Amino acid sequence: MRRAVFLPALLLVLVWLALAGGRNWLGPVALVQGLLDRQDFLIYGLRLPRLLIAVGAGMALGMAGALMQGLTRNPLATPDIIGLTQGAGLGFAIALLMDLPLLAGAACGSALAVVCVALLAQGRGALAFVLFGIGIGATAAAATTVLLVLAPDAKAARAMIWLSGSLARADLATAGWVWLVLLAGGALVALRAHRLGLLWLGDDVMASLGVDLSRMRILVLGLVTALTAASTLAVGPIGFVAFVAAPLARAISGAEAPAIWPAALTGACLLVAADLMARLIAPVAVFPTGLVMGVIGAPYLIFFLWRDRQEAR
Amino acid sequence: MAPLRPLYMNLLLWSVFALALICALRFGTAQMSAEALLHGDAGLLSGRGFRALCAMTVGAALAVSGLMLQSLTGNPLADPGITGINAGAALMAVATAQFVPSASAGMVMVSAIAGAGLAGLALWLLAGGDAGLGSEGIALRLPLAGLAIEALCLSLAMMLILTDAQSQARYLHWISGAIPPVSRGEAVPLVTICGALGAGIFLCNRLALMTLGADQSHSLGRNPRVTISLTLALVTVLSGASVAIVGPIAFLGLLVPFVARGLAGPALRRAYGYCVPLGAAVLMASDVAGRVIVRPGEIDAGLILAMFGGLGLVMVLTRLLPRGAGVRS
Repeated sequence: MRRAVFLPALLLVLVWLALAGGRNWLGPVALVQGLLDRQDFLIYGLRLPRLLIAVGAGMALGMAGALMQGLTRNPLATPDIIGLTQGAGLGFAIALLMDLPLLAGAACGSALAVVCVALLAQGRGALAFVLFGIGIGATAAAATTVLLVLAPDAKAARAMIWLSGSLARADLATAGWVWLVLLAGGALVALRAHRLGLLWLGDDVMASLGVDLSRMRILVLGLVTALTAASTLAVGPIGFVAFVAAPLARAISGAEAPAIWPAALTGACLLVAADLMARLIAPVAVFPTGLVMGVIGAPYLIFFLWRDRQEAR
Repeated sequence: MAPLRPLYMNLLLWSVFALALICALRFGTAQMSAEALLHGDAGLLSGRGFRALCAMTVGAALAVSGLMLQSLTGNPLADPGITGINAGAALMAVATAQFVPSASAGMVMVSAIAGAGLAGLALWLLAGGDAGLGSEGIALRLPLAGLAIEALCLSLAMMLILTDAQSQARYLHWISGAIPPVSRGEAVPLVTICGALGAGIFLCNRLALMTLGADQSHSLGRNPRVTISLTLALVTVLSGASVAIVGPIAFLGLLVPFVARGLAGPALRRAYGYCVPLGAAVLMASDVAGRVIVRPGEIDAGLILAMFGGLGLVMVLTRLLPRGAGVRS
């Protein structure tokens, strides 16, 4: 039971730190005063939107990662490694250039990426999904950058900050979209929780329990696409949150394999912590949160591969 | 298509190279007519000439580096960019330039080479084959391990760059693979690359022997360990020096050797000969494309390459992983 409350408690502590911390540290009294005063620009104008986006996007990414890992039963197949995040970024860039709805663009982009990867990797072995994803992701990421260089200046300035994965331009409208998608996705997961739990048991078990496999796959892929798109819309193509969240959540909370909710909480913790670190490293300049996440996440991937290799021996 | 004889193939590839060179001189932010190219504007021409020189040298170096790495590991996915070797070199170069402000261009290059070596070592520990398995053991984990090393090194390098205004001016474009428009001490790495490219030719036969198997190589009087060390040294020097000039460029060392080996067949030295003009032409062409697409702005050549390179990786993978066959990871 103590382990179950650890993650929410950690998130609360991080939330408090994120509101209090930054270039000007607020003591507890000043923080409460600021929260009560709706006119306080530091809290309501800057830190709260940023925090809301970090929590929302982190939860969405954590959930998407756990779902994808469950669907493929491959710990490496998370949206950020198999190119969904980058696809969403490309969709976002195209939508930005053509003045289309951004969320729809990001959703189309990530859906397209997952379809491409799935078609290419079909029947080619377990790791193919990940490898093709790396290729598709690299192309989409480069194309996004090129497109944003082409963008007119006013848009480009905003987009370039977004591209490196920064929360500096957080606003409440974007936060609203993220939370809308997150709540809808969360509700769907909660409704289907029992069946989603079966994902980890394998196709045969699911089929024998009477679960419609193709409907299940479409549901999960749809969820993952929407969650990835919403988080990418808000924080840019930030890597490794989805990849690290679920395994870390299982290690911390001791939950069984699906662990969708712990993964969501861990994702939020990771992103809030990374954002806080980004703000503390460079209080004046705009410092991308994505870089901090890379430094946290890449060593985990290295550790994962190293352990995998030790086990293979 | 009947395979061309090596002589014609060489002629063809070098004319592609010449075409790319002419384009690199002619097209840019300002267009230059053929006439002006012959007679005229020395300042513009020398600027573009320097740029083309950097692009062709680095292009050839990265292509050869990829070819040698692929031959050594027997893995067609081994590209100095994808494997994170270039990213390691970039991190060390940026760190040296930032923490040792007095560092000369040569010192930055040496540390880039050291970084390439360290990244290669990390890669070997993560994805290297077991001795018993030979090259078979280095399989599909390579791009994954490379992704991890690359993400870590590039994030750290970017952090260093962003926290220092001086580095930002110097390295912000460099990190995404930009051909330098003006000379900032590129002479040392350029000369190093040329020397290494020349020396590499003599390594080809040794390495080709080695790919027949370590025992074969041994019985024919060539110590396989020496061959491995020499090849790795060549790869790190080529990659490190390239990164010192244009930053961590990925995918060139995947695509060009893939084509060159397809054209040359099993003969390694022939593939080496094809890689040089082809790699040079590809990097020059990407540089030209980056300059022309968004006139008067510029897109870094590394980005143009990455756009096609990702698709190239997909293409190589479709060859490598036949559908339906049991593929071991």
